[in-house]
Amino acid sequence: MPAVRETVDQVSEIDVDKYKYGFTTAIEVDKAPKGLSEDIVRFISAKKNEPEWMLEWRLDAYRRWLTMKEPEWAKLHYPKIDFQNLYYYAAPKSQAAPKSLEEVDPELLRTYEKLGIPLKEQEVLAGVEGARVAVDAVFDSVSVVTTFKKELAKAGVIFCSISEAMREHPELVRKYLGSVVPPSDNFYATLNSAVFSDGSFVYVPKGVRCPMELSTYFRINEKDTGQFERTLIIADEGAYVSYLEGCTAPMRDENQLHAAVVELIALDDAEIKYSTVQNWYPGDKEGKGGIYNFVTKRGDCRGRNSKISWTQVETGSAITWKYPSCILRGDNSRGEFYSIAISNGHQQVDSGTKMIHLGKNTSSRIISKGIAAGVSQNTYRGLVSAHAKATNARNFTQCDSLLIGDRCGAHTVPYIESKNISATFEHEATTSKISDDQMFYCTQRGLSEEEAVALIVNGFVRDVIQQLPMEFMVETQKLIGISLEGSVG
Amino acid sequence: MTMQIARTETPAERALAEDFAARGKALGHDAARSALFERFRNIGLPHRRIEEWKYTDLRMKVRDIATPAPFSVSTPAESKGVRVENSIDPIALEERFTGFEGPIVDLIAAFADTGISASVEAGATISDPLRAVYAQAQGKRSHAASVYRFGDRAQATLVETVNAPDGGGQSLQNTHLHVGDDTNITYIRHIDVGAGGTHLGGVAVTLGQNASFRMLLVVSSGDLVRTDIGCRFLGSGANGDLRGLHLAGSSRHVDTTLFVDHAVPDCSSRELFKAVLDDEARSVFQGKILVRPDAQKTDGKMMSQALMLSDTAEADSKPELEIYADDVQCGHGSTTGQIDDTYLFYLMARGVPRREAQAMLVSAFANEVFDDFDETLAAEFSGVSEGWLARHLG
Repeated sequence: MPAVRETVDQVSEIDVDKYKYGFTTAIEVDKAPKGLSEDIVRFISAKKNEPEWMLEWRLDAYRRWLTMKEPEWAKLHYPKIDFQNLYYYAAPKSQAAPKSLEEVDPELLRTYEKLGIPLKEQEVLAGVEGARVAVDAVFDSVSVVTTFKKELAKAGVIFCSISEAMREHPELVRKYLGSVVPPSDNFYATLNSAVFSDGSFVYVPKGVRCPMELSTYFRINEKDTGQFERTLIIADEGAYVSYLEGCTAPMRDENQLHAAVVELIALDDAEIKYSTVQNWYPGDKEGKGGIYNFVTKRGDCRGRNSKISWTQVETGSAITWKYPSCILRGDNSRGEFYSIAISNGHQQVDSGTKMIHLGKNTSSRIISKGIAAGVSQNTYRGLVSAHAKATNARNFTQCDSLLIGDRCGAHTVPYIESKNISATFEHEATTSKISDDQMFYCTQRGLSEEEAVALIVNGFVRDVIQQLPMEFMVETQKLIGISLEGSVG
Repeated sequence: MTMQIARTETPAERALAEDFAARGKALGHDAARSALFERFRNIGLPHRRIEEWKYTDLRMKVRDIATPAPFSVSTPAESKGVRVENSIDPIALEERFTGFEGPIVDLIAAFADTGISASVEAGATISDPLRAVYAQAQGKRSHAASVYRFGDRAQATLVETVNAPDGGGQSLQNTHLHVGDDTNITYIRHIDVGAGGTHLGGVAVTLGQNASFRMLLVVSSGDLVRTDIGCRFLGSGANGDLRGLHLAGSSRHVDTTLFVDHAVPDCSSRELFKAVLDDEARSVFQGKILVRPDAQKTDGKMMSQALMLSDTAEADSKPELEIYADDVQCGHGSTTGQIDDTYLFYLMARGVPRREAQAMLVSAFANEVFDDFDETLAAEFSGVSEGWLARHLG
């Protein structure tokens, strides 16, 4: 069945030529020389005043990267990236570790204001009682400011830029950095390990429920700059944290590279919710410009009864190569992946997840919704695997794709590998199979199947979406409101 | 298929090259055959870094090459409307399309010294199944390539069996089916190459307008069995119903890789592939449905299911969709698991002993692939599956 009018209108409203965040900020920057070499790695490390072990770590990664080849298996086509034609470090000049918001360049503050990101603690989402969000704002290669740090510290939560964590909490960084995504993991993760310049660090101590939402807002501003950030989140025993990530970039004719690494670690009984609203510049109508987004995100459910949930709303980037994964190592651990990927214009998305069941009684759920319009290509690629010792592993996967127009493509590439007799894996690609009793409940009360599916999908993601900053929320709600009618497998 | 980086020739690859060089002339090999072998040699035995062979690494699995000996071929009987020749049709060597190509297709063709060329006349209705058997001698290596043409409005059933006694050997066989307009064709392929046997095979199917095509693949023995099925819709209104059943115990490895190419509008396809796995057996199903931009109103549904009887078995499944048309209905499903305890409880609560209840449930699972088949044929092949189940559950 073809897409309904309403859906077409809603998708065209967020078409590539309507990109709202394409402005540039005129600001003086401090840049590393163009290109990549050991000297650049040393330069970045020195800029960050990093300890010697960190420099060695980076150099090891860099040397390894030199021997690696770019992955070509994804359903993505783009000209070869010239890694020597990029700036690997760019930071606003005035930024000399501001102690408070007053010390931050007003030009930067205006940028975030324009983007709708609340950096002033007292003004956070005026009129919305209780919905406070602590923000770490990353501008090109550095973290500009982190809000609510003091209040979080009262609860024992550490929330700061990763460079600061390396100085203030080296034992934690050293223990966990690279323990989920090792420096040798893949081409882009290795590159990131060598040149990452900033990112967020979160540590939630034992038994603490993080008192507010944490979020990072990534902004690429400089021309020809790659952004390589690294996020590390640790939820200690019994802890809970919800983390949001947003990203935008100016409109430029050249492609820009973004290669991030995100590592999540959940110990016994801990829970991490990680949500992304990815809205990098997607390029123009002709497919010129846009961000190349090569991201490695992985969560390790290391402890018993731990839970990691990924929610992503993907609307931006010229190229998306991203597979947020869960390693379900602890017994009874749970992984979830909810994704909405919308591609328009010449965008290409190759995204999905991996659920690796290692422990006993582990369960995972994957709900993925891809919508392709224009001449875009939208691929879901996912792996569900059960190790021989993963007794009673459970997985439920559902992927829906919708095509709008006959010049785009929607693809599904699931890998299902089971080495355990008691593992039960179900992969469905039809809208009618969410859960029969939920569907029955809704339809029996007079909702159409369409409405029921929309309601249920919404229900899955709503608890996360409601916590998003207002600006994200409105946009995300609009995306999720898109009708599922005309869905294909 | 991605071309590869520099590699060293394995002893098996070297043995094949030597055999080709030594016997080429005697087999009447010409430039075309040499070109086929050269194509194989450029890639070599496919390995896990080639996506289509991710789960079946022949470079690792095929260590030795058996001494060559032709298949003993039993051809279908000629009758009114059916012409059969014991020869190799040039199409058997040349035909390639997405889903039916690559080093193994080329390897089979390069060495093929036996084959069947058969055709069923337009409008003919053949009531008795046409039967072909390729028997490989114990411990030998045999190659064959066959072509069957079904004229417009023909109705026929073809049953092909590749068999070998226990004790090893390598059977390599390709079949090309050209199915004309308004036909009604059933094709059954039975791979039964015994303990220790290796089978590599391919089926290339092209379907004409309004063709109704049904296929069933049954793999009941063989240590390493890989079947590549390429099905191409060339005329609108056609309907393909493709099914398969893997029965594997001990440390057998059975792989079926399927590619369904919806190139024209208004066609429908149904795929149902099942596996019953015991001991350390491993079943691989890779299925892909491609819906090309013009193939509007396509209706495709693919299902793969694996039932595990032992906790050391392994099931890998990769059901893919690649869709470029917006007004289509496509879906896939995949399940992996063991016998459902609630069903078992239901039967046992009614006095059926555990083993019998298990056997009943497993056979119900496996026999679904025979649903709606001609009764005699369904009985014949469900007999194959029942026999296997009796040995494994008895």
